[in-house]
Amino acid sequence: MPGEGKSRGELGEIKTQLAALTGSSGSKGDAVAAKKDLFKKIINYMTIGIDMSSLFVQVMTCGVSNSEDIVLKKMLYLYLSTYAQSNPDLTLLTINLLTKDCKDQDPTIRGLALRSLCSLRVPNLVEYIVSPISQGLRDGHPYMRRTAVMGVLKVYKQDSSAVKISGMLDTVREMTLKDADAQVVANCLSVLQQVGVVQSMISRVFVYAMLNRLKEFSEWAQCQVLDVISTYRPSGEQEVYDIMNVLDDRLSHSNSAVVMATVKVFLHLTLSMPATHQQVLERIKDPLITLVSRDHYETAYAVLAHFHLIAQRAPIIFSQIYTSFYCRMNEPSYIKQLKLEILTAIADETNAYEIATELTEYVNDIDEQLAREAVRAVGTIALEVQDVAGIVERLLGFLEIGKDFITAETIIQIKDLVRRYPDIAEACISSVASISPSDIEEPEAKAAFVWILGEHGQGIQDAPYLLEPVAANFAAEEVRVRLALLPAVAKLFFKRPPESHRLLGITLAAAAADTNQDVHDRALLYYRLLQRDPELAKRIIQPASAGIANFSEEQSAELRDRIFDEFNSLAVCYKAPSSSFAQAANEEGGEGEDLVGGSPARPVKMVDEGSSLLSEHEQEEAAAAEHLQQNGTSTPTTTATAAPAMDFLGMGDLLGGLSAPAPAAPAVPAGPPPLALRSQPALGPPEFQQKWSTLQPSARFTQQLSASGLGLIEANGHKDFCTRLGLANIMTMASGGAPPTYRFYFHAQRAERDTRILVETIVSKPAGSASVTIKADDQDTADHFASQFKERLANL
Amino acid sequence: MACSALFILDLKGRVILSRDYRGDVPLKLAERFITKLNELEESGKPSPVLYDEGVSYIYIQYSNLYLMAVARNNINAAAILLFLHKLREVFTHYFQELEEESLRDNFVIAYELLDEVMDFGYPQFTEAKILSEFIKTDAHKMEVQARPPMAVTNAVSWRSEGIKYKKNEVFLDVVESVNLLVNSNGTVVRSEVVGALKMRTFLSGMPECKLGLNDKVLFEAQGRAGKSKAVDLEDMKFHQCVRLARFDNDRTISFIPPDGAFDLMTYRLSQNVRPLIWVECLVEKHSRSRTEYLVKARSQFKERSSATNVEILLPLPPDAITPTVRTSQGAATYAPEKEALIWKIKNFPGGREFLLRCKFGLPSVEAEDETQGRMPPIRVSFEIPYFTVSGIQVRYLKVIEKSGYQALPWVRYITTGGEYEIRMG
Repeated sequence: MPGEGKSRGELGEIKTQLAALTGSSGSKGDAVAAKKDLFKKIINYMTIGIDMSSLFVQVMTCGVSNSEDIVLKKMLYLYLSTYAQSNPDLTLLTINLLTKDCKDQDPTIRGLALRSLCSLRVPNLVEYIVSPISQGLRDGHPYMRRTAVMGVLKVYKQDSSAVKISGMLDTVREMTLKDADAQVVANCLSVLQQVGVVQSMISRVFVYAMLNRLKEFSEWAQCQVLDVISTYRPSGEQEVYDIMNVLDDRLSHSNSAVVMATVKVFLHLTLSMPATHQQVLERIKDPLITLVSRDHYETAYAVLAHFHLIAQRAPIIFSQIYTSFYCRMNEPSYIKQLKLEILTAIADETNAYEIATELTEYVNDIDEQLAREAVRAVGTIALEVQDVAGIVERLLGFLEIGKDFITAETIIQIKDLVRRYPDIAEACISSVASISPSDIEEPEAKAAFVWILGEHGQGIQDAPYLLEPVAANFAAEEVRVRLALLPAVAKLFFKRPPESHRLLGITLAAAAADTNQDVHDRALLYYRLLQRDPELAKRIIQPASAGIANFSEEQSAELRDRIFDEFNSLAVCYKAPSSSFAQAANEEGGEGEDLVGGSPARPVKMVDEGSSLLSEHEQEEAAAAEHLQQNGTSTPTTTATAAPAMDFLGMGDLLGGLSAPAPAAPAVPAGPPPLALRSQPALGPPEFQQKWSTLQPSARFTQQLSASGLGLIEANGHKDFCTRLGLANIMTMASGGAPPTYRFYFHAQRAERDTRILVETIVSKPAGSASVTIKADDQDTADHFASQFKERLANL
Repeated sequence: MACSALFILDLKGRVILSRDYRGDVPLKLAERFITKLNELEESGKPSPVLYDEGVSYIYIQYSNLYLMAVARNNINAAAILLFLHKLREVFTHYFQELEEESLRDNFVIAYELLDEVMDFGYPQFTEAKILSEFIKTDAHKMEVQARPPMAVTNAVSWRSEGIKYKKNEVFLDVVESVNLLVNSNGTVVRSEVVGALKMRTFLSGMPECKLGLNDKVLFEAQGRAGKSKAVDLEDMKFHQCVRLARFDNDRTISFIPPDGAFDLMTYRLSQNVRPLIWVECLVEKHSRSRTEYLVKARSQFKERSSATNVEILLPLPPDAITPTVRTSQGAATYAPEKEALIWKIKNFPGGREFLLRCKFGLPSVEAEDETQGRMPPIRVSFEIPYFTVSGIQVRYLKVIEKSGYQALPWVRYITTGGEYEIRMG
């Protein structure tokens, strides 16, 4: 990029040239050619990021004088719409030119001018734009009407009230049904969908009218129409069949976007007809497979992501075409990874062996990432499909490959497998025992290895000696290894006291001296337990293990359903509902989601499988703590403490003693005096956001909502609900979300103090409940407010 | 939902072109994208859809460019990815080669195109043929500004009126590509044929075309089953010009074709077919420093057909030393950069078998990590002209235009090796 000085010199030069050309009197053709060259130069600079806005006046006057040349005109318009925002005062000058061109004879010029006019994005100019658009909507030429319809949306984005007053939306609505040009209709649908009024138009007549014209539409427009139709709920089954019959040929369209849009319609129409839904899945299988094998990798990726979603819902449909998901050498890793996930999802008794065999090929692959994923996939299949012989053997075979990372991944899988099916432990542990801990570098694998040795130490002769080097090197290990070692050594001690005594001593000593709070506290806990009552300690640290029936899935069925509702969108690629990553669909609710800025989780959440190991420890610990309270100490706390893991430290008590009477006591007749709230508290969104991110949640609860309550919340775009809360001095900061989940942010301020109360309420329609998180400056206020707010929700 | 802006970046993430459709994303985003992409590439997991701080980046890579759409909404990922590919086609149509240089040279046209393919983030028209009448390149610019062609506004969006050729011709290529995966124990794990009817039309006016195939369903419907060989094609997909309702009714493929090249139809065949070219590789390890490959390549199709440009890629260990090769047909060369031996056979008639022997050494000192993972598969590419696996045949291709000219149809058949992999033992 040229230096600042140079570009300034260059700018001056261009300015002079522009001035010279504006007044030039040479032959017309030459003048136009010279101007074009100069404009090209300007736009070139503009493209590479040099600010050309200071030339605004010169460019405009120069461009206007030869405006009959279309290319020159296009460049001028491009320049104008790029820099209009930085020159709002000067833009008024261009309005004249553009509005004049909106009445040109040539529809191309009319369209171009109108499009540029709508793209200026300068707020105070909206008034000048409305009337050209209104005229454009009635234009005789479809090119102009297409542009005008989109113009409505552009203005709506800037100033929705101007559009509502002008009545243009009604015109657009009429055009949707009447306009002769298909692309105009498609653009109308886009506008209505974005503005959020398309739902109210969808009726049987409307859908049938669209379907009858579908073939006139361009490929992209068809996608738009199908997307709208997918939200239609037919009145009866016959109607569903009619629609599907009409659309069936769309599955043979060569444009994969059209095929996907059709698939979405089929799936959503038949949701309430299980048998037909299965048939639909059978029907779409082949077209989708073709898209995967025919299309570009990128589109195949999107299709595979949808495959994965469907395969999770109905694995049986795809269990016989599993070979379609075998990986090819040249495929990019994102394809391979998805294929592995699909293979895992569709593995059942009939194909698990073949799939595991194929996966074994990938385990040997040069691509480390793929090899790791393959080991995990075999592990998951072994967990899910238990009755198939040979899969566990394959897994154990991986240990002999002799690559450290494969050994590591495999151990983690074996750990989970043994937890689930303790009876296969014997077959596994001999292979595991042959591994030297020094070969395992990765902390997660090491923790798993340590766990296996602790849990099944009775069957491994060398177990104490295998653990010894880990204990000797205690301080250098990662936290998760240290945390895993403590219970492992303790368990081993119960099984083989003489051999493990020394090991336990070393470990406890090292752990007690640890700087990590968790490790340190756990070591002390174990130490005291053992000191007080070894038998009790054994019961707590090593409860009788029965296999774990179910690992919590990485994705709940409910979440999958929500993603399924958003079929054919980014949500499927991210495997997360759109509320976690995108702006709300409806413009009205657009702010709600964004408010808490950073807080929505990243959509692509890699589930940390190893965490299950830790969480198990946490459970153990929690159980231990409870035990302690019941049997050992004299604390008269009930078992239903909110945070047992913390309670054994006495923290809960400490806090409980300070805080107000237990919040969960609405039954107390003479409840706490109502919390007085200041009316009209002032709090701007930035402060709210800042406060929200700094404060810790003070109270949380979930409240069931009555049907009428839900209705109230939904009604009138949440306005009624918010007004009602407003009367109680609870102000709405933002509301949003799309059905079936809504999200609200409220704030209030305590009357006699300055205490702020911030509330997040997430209403889930299917569950019929609201989860509320309250953050306040002090705990007392939060508890008060919580009980009050809870009652309010209950009595909606 | 619509996307916010389109970017075209070079591989370092510098913006070559951008078009902001909705004004709701800062144009500086491109830098974020490339940072994020590099981050993910290190962990080995970049996918065509990235997410970073509220913005989704959807991109494809082509030559030395990224074509990227960004959005804040939950947009239709599959459609946008396809749209980017269509955009690439449009650019390729205009600039022949789509790459950084050609784009910089033609940025004004590129801007014009970006203006027409999308409006406010909604895809509009991506038919290069149509756009090219709308946006003229310098090469064939017209004196008088053209009005928007009829095609932008009428129902036949893929063809404009008033096309004229001196000689009216249609070329139809039936191309079948064989994907094969054979396991190291010699079993065929997967075989699949992906077929396409590729057309190039040079026809005047608004011609009505009708294509007849030896379609099994059609033959059965007409009660002609068994008389002549018919094929059962799976999952046929047609270009948008084909009247799908008509096809569903009576299996007639009728259409008004676009001008120039396009894919009329694609189909798939997943029944197991005998691998056309079979390759077996016997590895003999005489000693640590001397290994020998004995490779047999056999053509398993009828003798009257013949494969051309057969190329067999035989992977060698990365540290192989001085391979020496003998072949009974064709020539084999060592390509160290591919860690493979490339055996090329210009002409490979059906029902024949050719041999290759390759001796090579390995360093006598063992490498650190002896088990370097499995060998990549043997890969085979080939072309068999005048032959299709499916046996599909074009029975007729009729062209009817109201001016009544006679068009010449040219039909060719060819089968090629696609993802053709045979795993080594």
